[in-house]
Amino acid sequence: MSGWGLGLRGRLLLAFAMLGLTTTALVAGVSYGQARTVVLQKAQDAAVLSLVDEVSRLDPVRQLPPSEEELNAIASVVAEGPDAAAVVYHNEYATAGLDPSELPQQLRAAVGEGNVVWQRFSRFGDPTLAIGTQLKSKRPDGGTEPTGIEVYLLHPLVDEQHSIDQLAALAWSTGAASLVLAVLLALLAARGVLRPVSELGRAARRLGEGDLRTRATVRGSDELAGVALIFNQTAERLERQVGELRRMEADARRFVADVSHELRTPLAAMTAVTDVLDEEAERLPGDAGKAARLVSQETQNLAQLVEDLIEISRFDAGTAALSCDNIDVAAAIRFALHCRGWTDQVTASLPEGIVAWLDPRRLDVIVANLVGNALRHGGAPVTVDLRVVDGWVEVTVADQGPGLAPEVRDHVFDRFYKADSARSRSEGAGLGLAIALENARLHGGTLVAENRSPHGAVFTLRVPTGGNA
Amino acid sequence: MKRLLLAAGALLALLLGGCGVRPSDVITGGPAPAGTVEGTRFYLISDGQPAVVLRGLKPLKLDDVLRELAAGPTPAETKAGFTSEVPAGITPTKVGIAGDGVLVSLSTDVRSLSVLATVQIVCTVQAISGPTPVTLVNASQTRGPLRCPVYR
Repeated sequence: MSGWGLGLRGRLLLAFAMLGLTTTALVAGVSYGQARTVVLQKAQDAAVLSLVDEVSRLDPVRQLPPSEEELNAIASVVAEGPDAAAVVYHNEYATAGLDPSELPQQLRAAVGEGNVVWQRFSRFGDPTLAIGTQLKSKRPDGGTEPTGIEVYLLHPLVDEQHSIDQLAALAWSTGAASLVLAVLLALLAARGVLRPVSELGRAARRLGEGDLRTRATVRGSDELAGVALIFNQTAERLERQVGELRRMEADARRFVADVSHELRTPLAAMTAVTDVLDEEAERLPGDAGKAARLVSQETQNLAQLVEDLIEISRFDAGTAALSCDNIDVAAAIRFALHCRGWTDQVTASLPEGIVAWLDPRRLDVIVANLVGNALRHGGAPVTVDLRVVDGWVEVTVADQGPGLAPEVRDHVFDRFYKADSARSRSEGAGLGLAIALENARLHGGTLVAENRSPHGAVFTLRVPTGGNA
Repeated sequence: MKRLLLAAGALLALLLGGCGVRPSDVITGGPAPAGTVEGTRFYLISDGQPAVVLRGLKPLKLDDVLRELAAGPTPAETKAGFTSEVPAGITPTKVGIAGDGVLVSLSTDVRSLSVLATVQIVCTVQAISGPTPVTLVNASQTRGPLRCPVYR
């Protein structure tokens, strides 16, 4: 049954219809058969009894072989109403509407055995009862013997046929009504079952789409209600746990943001001090100079890390805002490279005249992070290409290094992710690409990392020229 | 499932096929009704079986009855297919009583009578004399006592 591709509704309908039809067919069929038998038997028995009665009350036979008049008299007495009769004596016969040759041969043969016999047959298309009997004679000793006179009577069963047809019509209409009823019941039952199921399905879909406050309606106390209850409990637990996680994550981010802010002020002081130390380092002897430079370098790194953390915190808190302007992208990139002294190490292909609605500071951050990353981890030469494709500004930063290993590529934009944890002590905290990605997204653009054949990694930044509308 | 459909179809076909008044086989009821007959009963032969005929209402003596029987079937009886095996030579006859039966003395050799002729004579005699057995005699020859097989 399940392999028929029918829905629950179709299967219910089919099952109910089958059940209704089978039951009605059985009940109606059996009662129809019974009623038909009763109707026919009653009609037959009445006709037979009437004939037997009439034959036994005939005027006494005085002559055998009987005269034609006698035979005719018997025939006309027996035939009455719509019934036709024939009286046969050996090869002679008298008829009242019935030629003996019309009679079924079986019946003619059976009459000779001395009992009243009858048979239904079709006469001119109408169901007809043929009754046949011998006329016996009473003997003085009390016995009977056949006189050789045979009496036949045809009794039409048209009335009975009519009432039986009415019975059949009744049976058919009962069947049709019960089928309709079964279908209605099936639809009702299907609705009763299907409505909670589809509601549950809708609720599950909404939950799957992330609406954790979705609850199913619990109706009654059946199995479906149980499922809905469990669904609700699950959704509730899920909502609570996700809420908890979000709260914890928000706490953690706030903590980072707070810590970063708290570190900023002392770091500013430390940076001021290390600037002085840097100037003095030339004059400090041996190890002391080295230590002073180290302290200065690490302080700068720390300051950069704190700046990055604050930046990330802004993104997380949703407080990062764009301050866009129509800028010459090529000039902005060239400026970014120049500021950091990378102009010699980078082959830049920067066509003039590309103007876009961008935040220059953030573009600078992205370019600096991508190029700095390429210089640090990839191999020279590093190339920067700029072009416009279908309303998008596309900046690609490519290197000739070993490229990105698959496991690295999947996580290259993760925070604090370092491709080689053993070697990155002094090379940034691993926040650069994460910040670049957030900046690209803030512009409504994308940042994608790929490998280029034969070797080397390519980072492609795409931002709309019109800015983030 | 398919089997279920088949069953439903078969049921439907049965319902459709069984509708209305169907022809039947011959149904056998009680014994055939008997009417009264009047007149003298003679037994002739029809289809190799003894069968009764009625000849008029005039009361006849047994001798006369046997003479009529010996004269053979009437034209009407012949037309209806009756025959007789009783030879004309049985007459004249004499009828008497012997113990509990009827003694009928014939003018012919009773041993040479055919079985059917004997049955005709015995039945015709019994139809008048009642259920007592009949003995046919001719001089020292006797046949019987006999009973009509139709009477049983």
